[in-house]
Amino acid sequence: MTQYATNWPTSTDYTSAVQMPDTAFVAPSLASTRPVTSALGVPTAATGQNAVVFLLEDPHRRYHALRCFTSAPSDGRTRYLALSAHVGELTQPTTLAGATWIDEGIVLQGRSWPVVMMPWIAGRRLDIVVEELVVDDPRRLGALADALYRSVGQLQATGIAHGDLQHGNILVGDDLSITLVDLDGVWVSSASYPPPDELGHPNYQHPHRSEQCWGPLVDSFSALLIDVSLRALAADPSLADQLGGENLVLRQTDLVDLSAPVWPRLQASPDEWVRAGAERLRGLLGATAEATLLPLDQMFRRSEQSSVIDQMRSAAPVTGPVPGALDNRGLQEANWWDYAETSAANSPTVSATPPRYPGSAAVGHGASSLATGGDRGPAGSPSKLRSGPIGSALGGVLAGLAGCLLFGLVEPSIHHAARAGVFIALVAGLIGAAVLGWDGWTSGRASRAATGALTGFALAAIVALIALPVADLILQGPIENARVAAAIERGTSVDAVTEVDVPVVAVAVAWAVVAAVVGLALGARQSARAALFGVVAGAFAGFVGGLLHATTAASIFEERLRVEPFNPSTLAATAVVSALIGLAVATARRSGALAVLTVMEGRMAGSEVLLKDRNTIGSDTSARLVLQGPGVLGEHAAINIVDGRGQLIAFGSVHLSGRAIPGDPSAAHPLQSGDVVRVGGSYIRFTQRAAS
Amino acid sequence: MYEQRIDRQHPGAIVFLVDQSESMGDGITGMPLTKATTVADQLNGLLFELVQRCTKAIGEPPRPYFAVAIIGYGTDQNGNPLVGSVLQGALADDWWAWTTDLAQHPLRIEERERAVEGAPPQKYVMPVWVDPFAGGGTPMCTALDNAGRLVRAWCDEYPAAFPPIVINLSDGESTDGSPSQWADRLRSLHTDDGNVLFFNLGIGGDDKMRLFDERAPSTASPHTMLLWEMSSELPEFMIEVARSQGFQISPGARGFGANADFRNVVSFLNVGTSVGHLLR
Repeated sequence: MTQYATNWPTSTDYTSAVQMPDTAFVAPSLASTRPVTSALGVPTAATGQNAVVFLLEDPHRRYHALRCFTSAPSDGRTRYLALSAHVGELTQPTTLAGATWIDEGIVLQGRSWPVVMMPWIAGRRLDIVVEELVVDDPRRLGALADALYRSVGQLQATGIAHGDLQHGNILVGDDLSITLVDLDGVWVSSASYPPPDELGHPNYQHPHRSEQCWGPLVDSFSALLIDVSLRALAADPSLADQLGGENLVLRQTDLVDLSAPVWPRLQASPDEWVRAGAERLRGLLGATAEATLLPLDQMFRRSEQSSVIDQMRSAAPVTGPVPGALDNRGLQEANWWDYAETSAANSPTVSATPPRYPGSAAVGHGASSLATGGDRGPAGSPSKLRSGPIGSALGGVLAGLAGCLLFGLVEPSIHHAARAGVFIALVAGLIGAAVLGWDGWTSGRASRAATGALTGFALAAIVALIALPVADLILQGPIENARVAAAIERGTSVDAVTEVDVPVVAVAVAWAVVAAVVGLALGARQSARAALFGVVAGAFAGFVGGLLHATTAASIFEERLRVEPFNPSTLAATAVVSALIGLAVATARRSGALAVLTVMEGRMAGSEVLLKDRNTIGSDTSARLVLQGPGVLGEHAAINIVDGRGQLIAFGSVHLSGRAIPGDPSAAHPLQSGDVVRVGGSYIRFTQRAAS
Repeated sequence: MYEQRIDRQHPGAIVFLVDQSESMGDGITGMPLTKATTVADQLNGLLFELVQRCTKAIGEPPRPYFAVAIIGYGTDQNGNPLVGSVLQGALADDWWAWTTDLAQHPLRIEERERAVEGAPPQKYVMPVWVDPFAGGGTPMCTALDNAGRLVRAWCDEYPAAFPPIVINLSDGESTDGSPSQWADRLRSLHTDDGNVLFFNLGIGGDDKMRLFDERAPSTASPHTMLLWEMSSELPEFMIEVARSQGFQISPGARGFGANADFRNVVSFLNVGTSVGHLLR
């Protein structure tokens, strides 16, 4: 399985780090080196599968290659140290680059990472050299193949295998001298460590190579593949059309598929050795990967090593294929999804020639730049608070707390018999203010919020007061029972019992009655359906909240229900009750509304408006949905509900789901749920519920 | 499927669709940045990495192994869709920018500073190709139409190559109709190596963060559901990449995310563009 980079730095991370050598280069051998940069001032880097390589210059003007890992090098330290030791014992020169492993080489992201440092080698990659030679001097490719064969043979003779022989790891000097780099997968005979995770370049390896396929002879297959490729190109330069920059003549797909078109071309090569080598490769590809672990001379069996290059035809110069055909080509015309190229009947209404930005994209959008990002809607409120139920629940919490506080302040001046009534009316009123005030606010205007709050307060407080006698009635029976029980227990008369714990359920039912009435009143302002939902939701919320109130703050009778507003548990319970009622009532109102407008984009993004029968949209503060921004008229459009269906009337020009609609007060455009209406720079979605 | 290696004859194509609607100017969860700035920063990092990935030898320009299109979509003051390449200068003349050309024509080289304890602030430079921008609506259908034309032309040109990857980064619902049909059309395009991969990320939002779900998020909002339905399943190797980054995901996981915070944007782009192993 391929080894993927996980938590190791990326090539761009390293690129930042090498630009800060004073703090990033911690190893002594790296100190005072500097990265060489491109004309743009960015460090030059070459990237491979597992590492990025930078070019460094030291104060003595010597150049070094710094190899930084983008994924964990498998047993890197062991491998490189063993290699250094092994090479140090050799008496003959080696074609491997002299690499030094440094445990703590470079610091970034708060820790140090290992690097491998090598002297800079003046060679060029095999693929680049091959692409040049195949055009300029194909005969020299034979000499290059000879040099490679000698290098790999020498390597095997010294008990070393490279493990990933491929164009990118083979550097070629002007004199065709060979140096092998990227030693992450090296095997040496003098040490033992596990095989690398990396199984070599797929375009150069047996398709079934596994981790077990490793050891002194692992390079033989790749060496044969490269040799056949180079000599095939020398004999038939037209094969240059196979060069893709990441391979030589053959690709992984060709190694898997022996009927690929490249094989007959190799089998027809003017070079007899190429024909034989191709057959050898095909035979090996049909066998196991382990069968490729042959000594080099056996792999090549070069008894009849040819120089049949004289047979080579003088071919027309071949240039490497360069993509670019796309550069001058226009876009696919309409019906691009249709492979059959049939009728244009289902072509969309978008223009065939896509519009382009002017030279500077940011110009022409005027006020809507990033700088205005924070200025959105009233007081720059975060849009998530705009949705009614959540806002109303938060409002409910505030209402509950404020109710307790206010009640605490006025309590001493109220006759004790009236205290419970005042308390409930106060809290209910504040919940009403929160719900209706919030709705007013989200439709875009502070004055509407104030009106809504006042209306809500009056409405809820009044209905709560009306409901209070009912609640009292409900409480009376249980309280009397409790007093009688207490009198019997204490042996006193019932009248002497002035304090008693009120049964929990009774308190909950009393709360439920009050909350249901508040829900009814607030819902009725929306629709009959919302009123019905309001009753149910309010009763439920009131009951749950009442249970909480009664169980946490022991409710005590003192002629009537006694409230201790500054008792922390009363405060908490009241806040919870209020939040639940606020949430329930607002949800009821929302689900009771037949239709909702949601602002998707624009200054008021996130706002929601529950629709009544007639709703105006515009910049005027009397509009049901107030929109700001250029191009919005005072009364720009109206959305009306007629016979349960939405209709759009445009006073100014608008877009309805992408369609331009000129201003015409006499035309009504039917709306579907999900339609998007654009007014000025704002986009508003119309959502309609199925008519009940 | 999804295993064709990248080289000159089989270049890779990545199309980024970048929502430039006004709300992209709002902040993102998890970082003191706007959504638009986050996307621009991440794209700049990805482009630089792609350019480096294609640089095979020091002193040699990056090879034309990838072409990238970055299509911004928003609207002008009058609500007319503005859909076009975000790349500027010499790169503005073509929808596609090859890695070779990207390296030559960054918008600018930006100097940045990093504070280091007990040392003067350290300076470094990074190339920048994309600037953040936000304004107007979300004409997603027009954007997908454009992407489809580009990608179809690409598939016809390189029928054997790894199929193009199209990544849509948005923070809101389409304002020019339902993009569902456009997404189906886009995903139906193909090369010999598989269908076009179309990945969708919804940035920001109040609901539950989601990434790489393999089951339909049926409890989520209709918009989240739509994004999931529009998105291709991740190829096996991208699932491996996601797992290596700590995501516990199963086959069938889609290139999809919703209500993404900063970290999710980074992870989504890392996984959705993880074609590095197709190129060495």
